[in-house]
This record gives sequence, structure tokens and C-alpha cells, in this order.
Amino acid sequence: MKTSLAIAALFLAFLPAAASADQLDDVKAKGELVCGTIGTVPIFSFQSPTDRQTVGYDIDICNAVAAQLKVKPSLKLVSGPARIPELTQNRYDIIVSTLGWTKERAAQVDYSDVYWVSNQYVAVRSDSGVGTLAALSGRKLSAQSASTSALAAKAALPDSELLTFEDVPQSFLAVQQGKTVGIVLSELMLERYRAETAGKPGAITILREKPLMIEYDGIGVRKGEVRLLQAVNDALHAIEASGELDRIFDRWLGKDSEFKLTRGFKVAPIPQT
Amino acid sequence: MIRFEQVGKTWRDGSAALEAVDGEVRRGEVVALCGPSGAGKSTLLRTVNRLVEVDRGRVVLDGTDVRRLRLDRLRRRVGFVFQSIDLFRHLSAVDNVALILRRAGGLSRGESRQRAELWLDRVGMADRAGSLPAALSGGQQQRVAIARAMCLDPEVLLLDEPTSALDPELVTGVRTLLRDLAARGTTMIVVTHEAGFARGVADRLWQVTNGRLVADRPAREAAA
Amino acid sequence: MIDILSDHWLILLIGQYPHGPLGGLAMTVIMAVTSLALALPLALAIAVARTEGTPRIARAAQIFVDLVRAIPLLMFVFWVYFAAPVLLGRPIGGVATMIAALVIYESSYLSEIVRAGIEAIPDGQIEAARSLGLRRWPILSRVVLPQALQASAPSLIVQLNSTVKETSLAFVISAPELTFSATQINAVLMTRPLKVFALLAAVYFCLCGSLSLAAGLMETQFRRRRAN
Repeated sequence: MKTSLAIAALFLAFLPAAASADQLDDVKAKGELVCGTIGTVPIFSFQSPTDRQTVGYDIDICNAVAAQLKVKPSLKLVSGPARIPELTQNRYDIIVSTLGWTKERAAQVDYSDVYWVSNQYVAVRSDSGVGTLAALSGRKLSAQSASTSALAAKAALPDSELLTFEDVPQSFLAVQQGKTVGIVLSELMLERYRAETAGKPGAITILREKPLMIEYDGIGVRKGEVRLLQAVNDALHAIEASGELDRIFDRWLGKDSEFKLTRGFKVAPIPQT
Repeated sequence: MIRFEQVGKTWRDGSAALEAVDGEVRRGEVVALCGPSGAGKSTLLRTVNRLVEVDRGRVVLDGTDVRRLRLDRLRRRVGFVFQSIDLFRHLSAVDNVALILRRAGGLSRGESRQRAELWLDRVGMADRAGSLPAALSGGQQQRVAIARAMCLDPEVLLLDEPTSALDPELVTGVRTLLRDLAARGTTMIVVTHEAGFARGVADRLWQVTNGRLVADRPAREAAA
Repeated sequence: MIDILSDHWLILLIGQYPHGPLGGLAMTVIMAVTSLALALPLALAIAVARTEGTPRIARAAQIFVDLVRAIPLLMFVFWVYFAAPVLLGRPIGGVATMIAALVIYESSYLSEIVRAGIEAIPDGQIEAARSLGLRRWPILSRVVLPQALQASAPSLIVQLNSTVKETSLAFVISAPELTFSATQINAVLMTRPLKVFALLAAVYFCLCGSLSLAAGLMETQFRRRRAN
């Protein structure tokens, strides 16, 4: 599976990007902004069980940006590893899909300003006896494949062995079954899992010693589409100024949600480190 | 009608199958090819419709060398019934006949069907027209095979041991059918090792031994 | 597991439709049936090329079959997904991609089944057809292929079975089929992937089980028809 993905990625390296006129003009002309989104990420992009629509923080952001551009929003579901190749191939206009900033990704797509910041932490099974990051040396960790969590783990914990899985629930299952000692994930999701498993066998503890990585999520735009990038940034600033970003944040992450977070970030350029 | 002129055939391994066979079958005549197995009877029969191509001499059908006829046309003029009774296994009795009428004879679908039914009636198989070959007895299958070989009104009917694969009690029906065809003036060449059959149906007996035609005599004389 | 099913049966059955693309079990069946239906004529052509074609054509067909069979299907799916737009000049959707990949893939497997069917036909059938004045094409289309197909019908159903399972790879390109639905349910439930996948396995089992049953019935029917 992973080998195949790697070979596929190799293929992609040799494919020319589809040429087109200015993307912003295209979007306006067709009256539609197509957002690529994973569709299987809890809270950010998932299926509402009641009416089976794709909903979440990312989806509301996509809708708000489209509204600012005065076009209709539309969603295209995409797998994590295919997010960037599909953007380069023009299958959608922008990636709104918890796309954390990394140097490698920034070489392939342009990032908008930050619209979500998350800290990557490690959580271990409470009964594992592991209490520090140092104790993870030589142990197995799980993370979703091709995710920022996976990158964070490789960078911050090079002495641990990383196992990657198709999605987050499977990565978490690996911890529960003892295949791995811990999982690398955004703080938010870890909180959710902690709450879900609290008091049950398989309860987890978050190692709050320090975050492995601070992940800045931006909207991905095809390289060189300067006007579209500018329009997306303008839209993000506009929804921040109008208070709409706060409403969206509160609905999924803030006071109206189970997490009760406060928005600790401003829409601003991603620190390029 | 059919003339064998110095016909010779050598297999790839160098063994001779036929050697300088001369003979003539006249219109309306029934010739029985007799002889030990391996003598070349079936090979001689197959040279007529070019399932076997001759190496030396020639086979002449109605004044024309068979090699100068288009293969599919030749085969429409020469019906062939095999010892192994190869009815098309996926088709019913009537469809076995209709397929040939339609695809080799070029008749319309309706006409093919009609004439196929007529032929099955002639061989006494009208009541089993819808049956698949596997559901028919060997004798019944052979009668359908004869109808199939006869349906395009070939000038000659070749039969390669048509009764040898059948149980003795089934032979009679097929034999009666062939006698009827002979009585109606169908030219036939039959490979057989059954003396009774040869006497009952054939006009002449050709004795084939070691690839050579060693005797050609009237059937009644042979009986005596 | 019953509670998962009662909450999410609709997404397993038809995906997000009508609030999104048709998906779930319905799309799995559509993809499997469509790709097999399209692959069959192609498979016939390949099998005929291999058994009846000139040496050069037969060789080309064999190389195609060997090549396709040497590539993992997953690779193939990715390759079609990302290469087809470059070749065609426009993107094609996940479902179309999966069907295209399956058609090419299955046609090479099916062609082997059909070829075995062709080679199993006794020589006498063909000698009889030839001696009755049938030409090449009618012999092929009226005598050889019908028998080959009839003989391989049960194997073809088995192949449909494996095609159903192969469609599950479509979720890597986010084509909305059954496995993708399960992943979506996973994302909502978060902590119960084991039960979700057990449920998924049960659905595949029922679907493929009934296909196997159908194949069995067909074989019995077939034998009975031959014997009557």
C-alpha cells in the first residue's frame, strides 16, 4: 500500500501540470468555487450522520470564502495523499482540508494566511507507563499517513518507529490494540479521544511536555495563481473582520462545541519556519 | 461425378497414407470404402472436401479439380458426417441445422428455421427438434448430423463410419435413413467396416489396403 | 454494531446521495457490473486474438495480458487517475477512473478464462463446422464463442465476485463506494473502527456470498439443461 503510494507519487513528479488561464477568472466565469476536502476528518470535514452532507469547520470556511467571491461553493472529496496532485491537475480550485504548512508542501502549492492553528501532541495509553517524550525512544507510534502528524513525529521523535494508517480512527485503534504505544495527532482530536475513552480500558494520556509541532493550516492554491491567492486571503480577512470567522470557530471548536476553545490565532501569513 | 486420379498423400513423418488411387464415383451411386483400420479410408474420404489436401494427383468434382474451388463453396456441395457425431453442443437439434442453412447457405432466419424443421422431419427427428444434443441418444444425434449435412442439398454426401459409435440397437434407424437417401439418388461415399451395411446400401465396394485401392466390385457380387 | 447500522445504513447503501454523489453499496455494485460488462467484449477480443490471431497479433495480445497481470491493481488505479487527465487533456472523475482501470484489468483476467473456454472446445466441433461450409467468422461467433462463454459462465460470476472486492480500492482516489462510506462513518464515530470494518466485511460477505450462490445455481441449471 505505502509502496504503491510512493510509486504513484513518483509518477506524479513527471506529470506536467495542466495549463489554464487565470484561475480566479475561471472561478468567476463558472460561478463556482470547488474546494477539495478529505471528507473523513472529524470536526473539520466529515459526513453529518443525520442528512449525510459533508460538514465541518473546513466546509464552513469553504462556504464563507465562496460567498466572499460571490460564487457558489462546491465540494470534491479527495484522499489525503492525493490532495496536492489533484490540485496541480486542476481537479478543484483550492484545498480546504486541514493542510498544515510544511516546507515540502509549500514547494508544491501556495498557502493562504492561517485559518486554523493546531498543536501536534503525542498521547499514550494511560496504562503504558510512558510519561515522557524521552521514554518513547525505540517504541512504536501511529499517525495518519501523509499527514502533518506523521511529519511531526518523524522530525521531533526520530528515535521512535512510526506506523502510518489510512485514517485517524485506524491510527487510534492501533494504540488501543497495543500495536503502537502512542498516537501523534492534533491536540483537538486527542482531547476528543481522551474524553471518549476516559474511565474505560484503553484510556489515553496526552504528553503535554511540549507540542511536537505547531501546525499552521492554510488554504492551498495552485502555484502561480497570484490573483486567486490574493482573493482567498482578502476573503479570510473579510470574514475575520465581520465576525463570521468567530461564529464558525465557536460552532465547531469554541463555546458552542464540546471543546470550548478560544481562538488564539489571527488570520495572518504563516511563519515560514 | 467424383474422380480420383493418381491420388497420393504422404504425412509429415514420411509415412504414405494414400498411393496412386484411381477411381470414379458416378452420380447417384453409393460407394462403400472397406478395409482394415489405418488403411487410408478416412483419409481418402477427406480429400474430397479438402479436410486433407492431396500431395500428388487430383480429386475432380464434376469436371473441376477440388483445389480450384473456393473452400466454403466446395464444402456446401459436399456434405460430411463424422464418426464422432459432432453436433454443436450449445444448440438444439433444429438450431444445429438452421445455423448451417443461415450462415453457410445464406437463407433468411425464418426460412432457415422452416427448412431445418423439414429436414428433421425427414430424418424422423421432428419431435425432438428443441432438444440439446446431450439429451439425445447417439442414434438420434447421428440422424440430426445427417440432416445437418444434407440440408444444403449437397451433390455428394460423405460419411465416415456413421454407425460405428452407436450401440447396435441404434444402428438400424440410421441405416434405414441412409437407404432412403440412396433410394432418392443421393451420391454417397461411406467408410464402413460393416459388411451387412455395405451390402444393404452400397452399389459398389472399394477395398482399400495400405493406402491403395486394391479392388472395385459391385456390392452384390461381394456378397456372393 | 446494530446501532451503527441503524444510524448509518443509508450512507452505506447510497452514500451521500442526493446531498452529494451516489455512493455506498449502490456505487460498488454499479462499478463492478459496469466494468465487467465493458470488460467482457474486450476480453473476448483478446482471447480470440490469442487463439485465432496471426502469430504477431497473438503475441501482442499475450504481452498485453502479461503486462496488466504483472501490475498491482492499486498501482494501476493511481496510474489511470493521474495519467489519464494528461493524456485526455481534462480531468476524469474517480468513478470513471476506477471503471476504466477495472475494465483494462479485468479484461486481461477474463480473457484468460475465455481462452480456457475456447481451448476446451473439442477439435471435432470446429472440424464439423468447417466441413459444413461455415467460414471463419461464423465458426467463431456461432460455434466457438457461445460454447466458450457458456462453459466459462460460472467462472465469470466468480470474477464478478472478485471485481466487487476490487472496487474497494476506489476509496484511495475518493470514489464514493462502500469502503469509502465506512471510512466516513469511522470519521464520525472516531473510536469504533473495528466495529465499522466488521460491519463492512459483513456487507461484502452478503453481497459476494449471494453472487457465489448465483454461480452455483447457474452451474446446476446448466448441467440440468444439458442432461434433458
